[in-house]
Amino acid sequence: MRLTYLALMVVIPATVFAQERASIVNNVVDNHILVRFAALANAVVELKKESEQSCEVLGINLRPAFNKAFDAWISAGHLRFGPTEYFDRGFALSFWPDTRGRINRTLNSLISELDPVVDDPEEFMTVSVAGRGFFALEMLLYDSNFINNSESDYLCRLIRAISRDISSISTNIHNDWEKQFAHLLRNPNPEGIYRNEEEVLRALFTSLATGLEFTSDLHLGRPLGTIDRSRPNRAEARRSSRSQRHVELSLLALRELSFMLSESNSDTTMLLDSSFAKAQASLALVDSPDLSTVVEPEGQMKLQEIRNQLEQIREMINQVLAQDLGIAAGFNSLDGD
Amino acid sequence: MTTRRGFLTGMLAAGIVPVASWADLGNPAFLSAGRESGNRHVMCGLTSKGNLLFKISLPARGHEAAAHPVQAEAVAFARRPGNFAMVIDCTNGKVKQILDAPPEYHFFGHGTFSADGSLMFTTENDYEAAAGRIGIWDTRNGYHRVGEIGSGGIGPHDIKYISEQEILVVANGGIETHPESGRAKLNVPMMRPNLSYVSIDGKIIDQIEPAHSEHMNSIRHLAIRNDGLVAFACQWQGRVETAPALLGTHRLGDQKPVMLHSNDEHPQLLAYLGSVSFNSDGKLLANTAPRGNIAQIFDSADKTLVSSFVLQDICGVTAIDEGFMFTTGKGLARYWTGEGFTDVKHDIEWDNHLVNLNS
Repeated sequence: MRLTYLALMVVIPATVFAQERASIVNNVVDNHILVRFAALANAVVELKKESEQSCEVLGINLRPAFNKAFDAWISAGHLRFGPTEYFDRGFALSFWPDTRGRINRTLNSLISELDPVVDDPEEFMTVSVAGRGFFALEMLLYDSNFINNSESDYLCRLIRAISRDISSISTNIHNDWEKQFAHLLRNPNPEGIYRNEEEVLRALFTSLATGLEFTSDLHLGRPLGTIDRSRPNRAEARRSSRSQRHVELSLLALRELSFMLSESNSDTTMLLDSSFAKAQASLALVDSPDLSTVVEPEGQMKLQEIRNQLEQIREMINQVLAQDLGIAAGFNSLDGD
Repeated sequence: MTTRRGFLTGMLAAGIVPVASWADLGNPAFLSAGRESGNRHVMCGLTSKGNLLFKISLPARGHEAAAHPVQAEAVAFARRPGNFAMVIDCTNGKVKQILDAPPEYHFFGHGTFSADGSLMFTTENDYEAAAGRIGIWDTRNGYHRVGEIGSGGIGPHDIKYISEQEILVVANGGIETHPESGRAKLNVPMMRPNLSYVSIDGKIIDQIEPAHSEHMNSIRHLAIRNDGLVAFACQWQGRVETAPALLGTHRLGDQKPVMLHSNDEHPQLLAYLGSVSFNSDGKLLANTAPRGNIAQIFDSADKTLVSSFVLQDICGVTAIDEGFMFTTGKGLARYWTGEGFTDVKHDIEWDNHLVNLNS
């Protein structure tokens, strides 16, 4: 496999032309980014509405609305630049991993003090990101410690406050994309955030690269732990049994993005697309919504296999796609060294 | 005629090796890790003009090396999250000893020696506890771990020894990582970097941290001037276009650091500095920005930008004479003075840091 794509890189010294670059950017903006944030904006309105109608955790509408909105966020969650980064919105929507149990602590502190911050949307934005967003809401809707007290009036106000906050953040992200940021990506200029198309492509490529890293190292890496000690309790969104689904949705999104970014070189498209297809096929065999089968040798092997496949894709995009796009990273640019 | 090298080899064969010094190696001025074609990783010695003096194979990509202040010996650290370091005899390129991080710890890629070389200090991650540690190694009879102390924060990266006060200064980058999750950052929204001064017995003597609004400014690399002034270089984890100043200086006991901001050039840094160094007389302070492909030289007294230049994938920098030596991932070694510069091109991609053997 390694030989194949290395060979490919040597044979085709491709760098995309300006026109192709513009076409790639427009396609990604219109058919990948804007679509996903529009879907998120729609889904969160439903979540807010349902929470206002009834905050009964076990009622028929609240959890489904939560799940739809969470799906939409995970499908856009790799696009962590621009409007998602303003005012730490991405963190406020999605505080994970929570390595120190901060979500639990923050929620319990709000609840024990009956903190009136929940009644004021502006004030609620000052709450720690651990007490906001999808993961805090998941805790309230699925964790037995909270569900058992779900008749409390305060808990209801808290659920509504978080849903409202999620809705407002997501709507703002969508608006900023529509009104401003899409334009910045399409029209780079020397005075702007993106000075040229190369920088725009680099930002899009980085979303793909960091999305892959996130899914491999965190979605899979955290529950996988080490060969001797898997960590099922570290799976993302395990309380709502969404862990496997998050990997699925992420791979769908990343596959689409890689397809669009490789538009100028059909060999690269085929290579990446078939590799994603293999990883998705491996994932389909897992059948463990909260990834808890990682504790069994077979389950662990299956997840490790997917992680290996994603690591291969990471290598491919760095070696082949980055070359195609003319944005190969320098030896010294890697983060955090 | 018996050359010095031949003489040394003969003695090696006879097993009567005196402890060789850097002078025996032709006085290399610098060490740098690098990558050759075919993905071969090496540790190299360079002359004061940037020419290659020797080359030693490494089994994997290195990060920084710590050079023993007296003996021709260097400790090469694997890139994080590496759990080994190699003590290399620079006279023959042989690995004298492999140092392992303790169980459930890994190295961060930087280390430093005490002034006489008898102790080495390594930055480490106690990753289950997400606690930064400093490993202490006695180097006098082979390297033995003799203790460890807290680094004063999470994610300690660079570390320097301040000879005058016999204390350590540590850049706690603030970012939690866990080897099971590769290099992924686990706590960016909650991160709190700091600069800590730590005594060898583990007391935090002084500590500064960025204001809350700048808590994502990860303090990563350090340089020390002879009078104890510390320079630090940061990597901003927030939106690139909102990055605050990335270069600062601080003196033990001062309440606040002085931040150096390059105004017009600031956006070109792309929120990320790679290395930092004072020149020999301490009047100049240089930083490199490998993502922005730019190096900047400041006047360390009045904090103004003196000079800057663009160079692809520039990262390594250290003092030489009145100026600096820079290295790049494209194989250049640039000898820079206020008057101009000369470049030496190598077939080696120079890795992040250039280690000075004369300071």
